[in-house]
Amino acid sequence: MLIEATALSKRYGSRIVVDQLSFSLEPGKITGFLGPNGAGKSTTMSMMLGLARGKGETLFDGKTYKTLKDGPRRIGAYLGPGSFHPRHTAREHLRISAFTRGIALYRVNDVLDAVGLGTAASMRVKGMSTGMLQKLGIATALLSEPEVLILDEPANGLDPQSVQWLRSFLQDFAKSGNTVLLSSHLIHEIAQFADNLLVIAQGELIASESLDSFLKRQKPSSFRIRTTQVDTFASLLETHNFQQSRASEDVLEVYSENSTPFIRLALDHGIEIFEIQPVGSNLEDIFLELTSNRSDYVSESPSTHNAKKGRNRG
Amino acid sequence: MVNALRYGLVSSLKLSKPFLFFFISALVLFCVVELSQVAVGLVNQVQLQMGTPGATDPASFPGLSTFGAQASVMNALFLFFLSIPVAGQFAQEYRFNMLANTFLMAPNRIADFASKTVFALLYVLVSVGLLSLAVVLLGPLLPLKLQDGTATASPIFATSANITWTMTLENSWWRVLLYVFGYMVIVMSLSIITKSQTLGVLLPFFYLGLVETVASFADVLVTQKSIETNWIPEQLRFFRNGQAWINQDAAFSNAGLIYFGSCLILLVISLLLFLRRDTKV
Repeated sequence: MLIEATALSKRYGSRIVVDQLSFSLEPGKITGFLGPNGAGKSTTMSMMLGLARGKGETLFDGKTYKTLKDGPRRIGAYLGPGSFHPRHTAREHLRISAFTRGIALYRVNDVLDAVGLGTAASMRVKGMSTGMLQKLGIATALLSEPEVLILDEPANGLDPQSVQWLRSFLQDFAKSGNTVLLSSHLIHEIAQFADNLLVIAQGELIASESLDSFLKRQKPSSFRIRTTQVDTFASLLETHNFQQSRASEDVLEVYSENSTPFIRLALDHGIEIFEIQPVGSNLEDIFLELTSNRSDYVSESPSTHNAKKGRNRG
Repeated sequence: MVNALRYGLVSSLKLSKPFLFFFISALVLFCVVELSQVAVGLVNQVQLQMGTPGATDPASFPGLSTFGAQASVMNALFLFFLSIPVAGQFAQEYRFNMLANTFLMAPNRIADFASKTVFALLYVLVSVGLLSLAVVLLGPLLPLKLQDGTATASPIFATSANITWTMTLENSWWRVLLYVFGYMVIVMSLSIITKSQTLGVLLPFFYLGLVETVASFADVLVTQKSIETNWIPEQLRFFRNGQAWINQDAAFSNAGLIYFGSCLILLVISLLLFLRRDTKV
């Protein structure tokens, strides 16, 4: 199913939460929806499904969620652990959901077993942990064997085994030609299985590209070389036009995408190298750079916090 | 649409346990109140009457007929208890943030609203029917018996006199039912507007019990002092107008219009809020 969001916009008073967001989701792909806390990811997902009002529209095969035939069965969504009646058991919740959407009741046990809640089926929602609620939400989304999955931070609170299960499940799900959109504020989590990335900050779309293309944003790498002949090696590198800087007493940082040329140079001139450590911007750096100064909820640095504490005590 | 109907049905069934609890509580309290009147009557040897306490003028109560249920369902206690699950129909979804889940399962909000309203009123219909049945069964025990528009003392608990009241026979059971529907629509609408089951139940109850009683009291004072101005406009006494509509009280002009108009206005406001509010996730 092709999903196209066009000019989604939403404001609370004077504060713009989602700003002219347009993107499309391809079938057979997992799209990671990234952004810092409060970037507008959950609001965007709610708007896509008609839960929050605003401007713009999201079309699922040319129809809105409300007008799409069998929408609640073709699209499985989970937008947060709050949407359960505390006195319902996991099985009751899923039975209500199945009955309402016209889904065969045998699916209830299937999905409970799939997410690992089979033994907790009779447990009331109010007694469940965050991870169990996440699993129940995911089970609700999977109940109808949908073509599209829209999941808001589904891995929050899950144990490592469950995260691994979710990852492989979503990969298989997408391989069958289905569409997945899942949000997270953790790029490492998304980078492990997403095909495409949407990055937003303060409601604005910052990047919409494949994961491969996103990875290419990494800066030219550098290498940290530990040697006893720092000065000799530095002047040698300079004469051979290698950019370098001194990182510490016995460490040089050499800016190059490839380590072979300067290692050969060192070997040719009898310079002993004890350690080579590649340095480069990782995914997190790219994400932070993209979203820098564009988060509404930035934490202060530990040093600033400590300085404030000191001032207050003084 | 189908999903919304299914959801309305299933949410009503899920609420059947509290529904049943509140209904039985209401019934028990009703019986206690009514039977205590019998006991008081036996002790004091006075003529008693079933239904709204203090309403002794039969001419103003054409709604009281064979079943005797009309006045009984208007018993404030019964209305109070009946309104608790009705208010819960919508308010619990707000309270537990369940609307996101509901709209994902059944995205047509108008259909959701209609479905839940229909099932809530269906519940009211069943409850009123059951109460009427209970009253029929309890009828012979009560000191006043009404048949064919004539009220006579019960042969079992005949008290001081064999008073016979001749009444205009008008079987207005449907009027009482519509009044209760209207009351429940007010309860339901207020629970949506305030997102609170407690306020949904208490606001109309307090309005009925406090504001309108004070207004009536003020009216009496005003009449006694021959002052022409009304302390509270008649149109703002919704429930009094509703009761006047049941009893076809000529003193209240446009009583039905005022009562059901108020219900409709509140219903429209709550529907608009239900349609336009963002759903908390």
